[in-house]
Amino acid sequence: MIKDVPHRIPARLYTDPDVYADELTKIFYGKHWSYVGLEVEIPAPGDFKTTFIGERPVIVTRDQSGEVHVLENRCQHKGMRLLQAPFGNVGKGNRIVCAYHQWCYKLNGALVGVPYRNGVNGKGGYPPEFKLKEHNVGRLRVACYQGAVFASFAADIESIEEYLGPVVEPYIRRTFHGARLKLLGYTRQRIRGNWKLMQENLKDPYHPALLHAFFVTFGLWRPDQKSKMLTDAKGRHAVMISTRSTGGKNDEVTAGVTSFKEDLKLADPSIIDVAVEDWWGEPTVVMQTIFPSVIIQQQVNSLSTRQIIPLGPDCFDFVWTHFGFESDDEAMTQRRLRQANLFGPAGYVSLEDGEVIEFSQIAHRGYPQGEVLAELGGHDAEATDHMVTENMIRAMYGYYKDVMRS
Amino acid sequence: MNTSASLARDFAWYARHIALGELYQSYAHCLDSGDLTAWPGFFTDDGIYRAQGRENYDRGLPLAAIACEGQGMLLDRVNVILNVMVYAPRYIQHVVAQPQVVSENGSELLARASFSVFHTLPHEPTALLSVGRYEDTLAVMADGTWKFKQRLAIYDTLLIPGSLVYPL
Repeated sequence: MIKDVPHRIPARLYTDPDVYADELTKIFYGKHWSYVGLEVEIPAPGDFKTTFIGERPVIVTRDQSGEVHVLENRCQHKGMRLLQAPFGNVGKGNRIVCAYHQWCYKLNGALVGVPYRNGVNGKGGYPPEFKLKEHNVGRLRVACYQGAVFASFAADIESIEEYLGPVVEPYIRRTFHGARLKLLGYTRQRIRGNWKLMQENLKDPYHPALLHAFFVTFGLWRPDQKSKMLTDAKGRHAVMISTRSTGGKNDEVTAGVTSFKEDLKLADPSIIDVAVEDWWGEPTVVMQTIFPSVIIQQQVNSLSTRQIIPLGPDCFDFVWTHFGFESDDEAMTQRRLRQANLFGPAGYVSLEDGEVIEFSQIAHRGYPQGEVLAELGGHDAEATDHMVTENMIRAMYGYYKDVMRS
Repeated sequence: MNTSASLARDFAWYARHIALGELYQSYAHCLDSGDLTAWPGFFTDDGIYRAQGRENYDRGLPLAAIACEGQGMLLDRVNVILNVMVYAPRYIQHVVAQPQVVSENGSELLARASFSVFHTLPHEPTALLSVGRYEDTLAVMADGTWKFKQRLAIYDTLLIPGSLVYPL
């Protein structure tokens, strides 16, 4: 049980540059696992992907033996960013070579060569005490978990399974259940809001039926559905689990709710043509917030990871990676792609989340002395079997408070 | 004789050039006016529209930010934008280049044009929303006008500033 969780959040936690600097150190660069991608993005030896953990550029590579490495994207000589392209392959030499002075690294970060080490014509060069092995690129801890890749700057971090914990882990294993993934593509947006607001958004089952007309009207998410709202023992991760209903009118849910559109009809309902998949079990929607950097989405047939890359207290990049499974037939791929119209920067539902986060940030900036309430469902952080709660937000700030005071 | 035949060909070419230019400007004005109800009418009954990031297009990844297949989905996109979604009000403004015909095949044309779209949000200076290019397949209608059988708006601005409310 999580004790002493806050139910009011000071607005300056969203605006204060000192708080933000502390978050980078203690959260993103501390003892946490951050999501960096999917293994299917780097399928072949020599493949790489560049991304960020917090504000630090990192490289995800696959070496000749198939092992995945996550490296600081920073040459040890002049500190230059080593790789610029978002994706690529380093070529048959299997080396990462800095463009500036040709320092040469293996795919695991080991420095293997520097030009003119012994000088030219017997002049110059590095002194005899210069050791290549003392200048390897910084290498992060890596966890390849069922096709998802996480990394941490902390050498002494627990395993990813322990990090996720026994309550949350089974739901991640449900989505990443071992079937080979098929990459469908990316959307990216820069949202002018504090990164925690996006974590909160996906730990807030109160808003979807109120903000998102599309969800409540078509029964994809509403409080009269069977649901569970869980957190891990530390309160940092959460899972929102629910089973879709047929939508329509229910006075307790929809009366007075201006977003409910009884007369909203789709000219082409194929966008909500849902096909039940055998790995689902009972839930039709499972939204997982993995602290601090990712949301893993299953909303009916639409699957994505949503990576959070913070850029100061008032801005973050939000990177959506949509995927299916290699075993999908063409009809299932098309279904996932049609349902993707609900998500991302133009999504019928998700566009609204980005908008309200920006509206919040603008007001927090002007009223940093203000407080945000998280009192729905009481003051504790116990798991619930309903949506009318902000328990998961309280749980996250309970954990946050402990980390930030450490 | 030869001269008049070639004049007729030139005239037909210029007439089409002007008609396509008019079509591309009308499309842009429809979106920029904020009244999108005419937008589906730019497409054939089975018309396809996608706003897709260039990285996905180049790598053959099928995901698009907006994907409509046929009049029904085009109408739904308009209905959701005008009547359902919550977002800050904004102006958008397209700057669309003269389309270039890439190839033609009977009653169909492949054409492309680059676009820039600016947006202006409340209490904000105008900013760039998106740059990219259209890759279009146009079909000629019985009355001689052109409609989009497929319009791909392939955007270079992968990192969308905030939201993509209106189609590109």
